[in-house]
Formats: sequence, structure tokens, C-alpha cells
Amino acid sequence: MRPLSTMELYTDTYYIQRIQAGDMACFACLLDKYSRPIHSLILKVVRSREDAEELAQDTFMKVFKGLSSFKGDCSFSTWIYRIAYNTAISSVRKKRHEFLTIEEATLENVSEEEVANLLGQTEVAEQTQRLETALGQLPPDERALILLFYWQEKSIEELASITGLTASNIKVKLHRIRKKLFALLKRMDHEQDEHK
Amino acid sequence: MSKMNINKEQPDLLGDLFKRMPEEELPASFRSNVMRQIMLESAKAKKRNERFSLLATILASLVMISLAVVAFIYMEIPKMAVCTISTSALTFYLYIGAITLILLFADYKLRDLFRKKG
Repeated sequence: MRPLSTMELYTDTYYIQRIQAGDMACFACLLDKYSRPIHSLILKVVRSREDAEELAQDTFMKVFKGLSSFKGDCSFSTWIYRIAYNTAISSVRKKRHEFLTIEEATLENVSEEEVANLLGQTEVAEQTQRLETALGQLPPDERALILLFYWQEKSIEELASITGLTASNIKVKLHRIRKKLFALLKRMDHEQDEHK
Repeated sequence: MSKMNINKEQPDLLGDLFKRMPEEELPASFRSNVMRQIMLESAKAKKRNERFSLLATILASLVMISLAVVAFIYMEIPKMAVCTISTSALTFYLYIGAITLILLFADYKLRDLFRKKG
């Protein structure tokens, strides 16, 4: 193993090299860094606490087993998110779910400003609650994509590497998912008004 | 696509909303469960490697012995005459060989037992 400079200490690369050299306890450091965001992402995608825990454990086992084959073509963070994304999406694909379909005209007739105005009239906690509900009505792959972009703050290039889609495809998908979310948030507001 | 806000530096309604969404709490036993599985997997991999090394050594030894036998008996390299052993002497040599193997096996087992107790 080549000597490590001080700058490299405590980076993912340092821990990976230690693990590859046989120091398995170093995996705990990677686990501490990534377990919470990975578990949260999987939980939001699969929407079941039991499944999310099992899938997050699966993800880390896959990471451990594949660590020797990790060549550093992308960052470790992107690699681990790719494994988590594929694990979560494969799991939800096995279970058949039905998702809401929104007409093209509805998507075109909704604007960000309009939704911002509607949400501005509600409390912050209520806004987050509505977003969670709207997310729940999206198909899992779309939910994962928008969560990775906004929540985990991944760039378009990182998303392309995680999902295996092209950057232009990601941009189109994100645009449509945003429109869908706005339409769902608007619909929720109308339903709320009708109840009143 | 023009309305799509992919530049995170610009203000974005969804960006603000997502930022307020809290991360979920991890189950308390998550870390210990994963580390236990990692250690088990690591031990399994170590054992697998040991078995593979042993198998490779045995195979290499067999190949070398076969080559030596072929070279010695069929190709007659080196050129030398081997005197035949008389039957009574052969029984004695086999007896000595068997005792050596038994003692080596007993030594291996006792060392193993000692290591487990220690």
C-alpha cells in the first residue's frame, strides 16, 4: 500500500484503502457517514420502515463485497448511491403498485408561481407534509430521482452516473417530475378548500 | 425545458421545501447489525481464501510430483539406475513412514486443541 499524505486522512479513499488492507473496523467510519442519508433515501423510495432497514443493510453488504472491485471511476459517494438506488428500485419493482396518472394538459396548466402562492398561505410544517404526500403519489423511480436531486443535492452528472441515464434524459425527467409535483400540490390545495 | 430550474443557486420552491424535509432516524441496532454481518462476511472470505490457497498448493504439488515421475520414469532424466528394494526392507520402510505420518497428525491435532483452549 502506498504511503498516505496527511491531506488524505479521513477521506473515503483512506478508509477504503484501510479496509482493502484488512482493517474491517474502518467500515464503521463509512457506515457512520453514509448510513443515515442512504437509509432515509431508501425509506422515502420504498415507504416501509422494515423494508428500508433490510434494503439499507443489503446496500452496505453489497458495498463491502464490491469494495475490492471499486476502481474509483466515480466518487465513492456516487457509487454507494448507485447501489442504494438500484437496490431500492429493484425491490419496489418486484411489488406491483398503481400510481396516479396526471393528464398532460393538467401538467401544462400549472406554474411554480401559482403553487408558491398557494403554499405561501399554509404553515411550514403543513407544506412539508403536503410535499411528502405528493411524493408518495409518484412512481418510485421518479421519487428517487427528485429526492436525489433536491434532498441529497446531487448534480445532474452525478444523477446520470447513479441512474445510468443520460444527462439530457435526467433533465427532461426532472422537469416532468417537478410539473407533476406542482400539479399534485395544487390538487391537494383544491381538495383542502373543498373540505372547508 | 426553459423553466426547469436545474441551477441550484437560483431560488427554487421545491429546493426550499426539500431542504426543510428532515432525514429519517436510523434504527438503533442498525450499525451493530451491519458491522456484525460485515465481520461474519469477512471471516467467511478469509476462510474461503485459506481453502483456495490450500487447494492451489495441493494442486501445484501434485503437478510437480507428476512432472517429476514422468521425467524420472518415462524420460529417464537424470540418467541413473535405481536399485530395487527387497520386500522385507519395504515393509520396514512403510512401518517407519506410517509412524511418522501418525505422529505428524497427532502433533497437528494437539496444536489445534492447544490453540483453541488458549
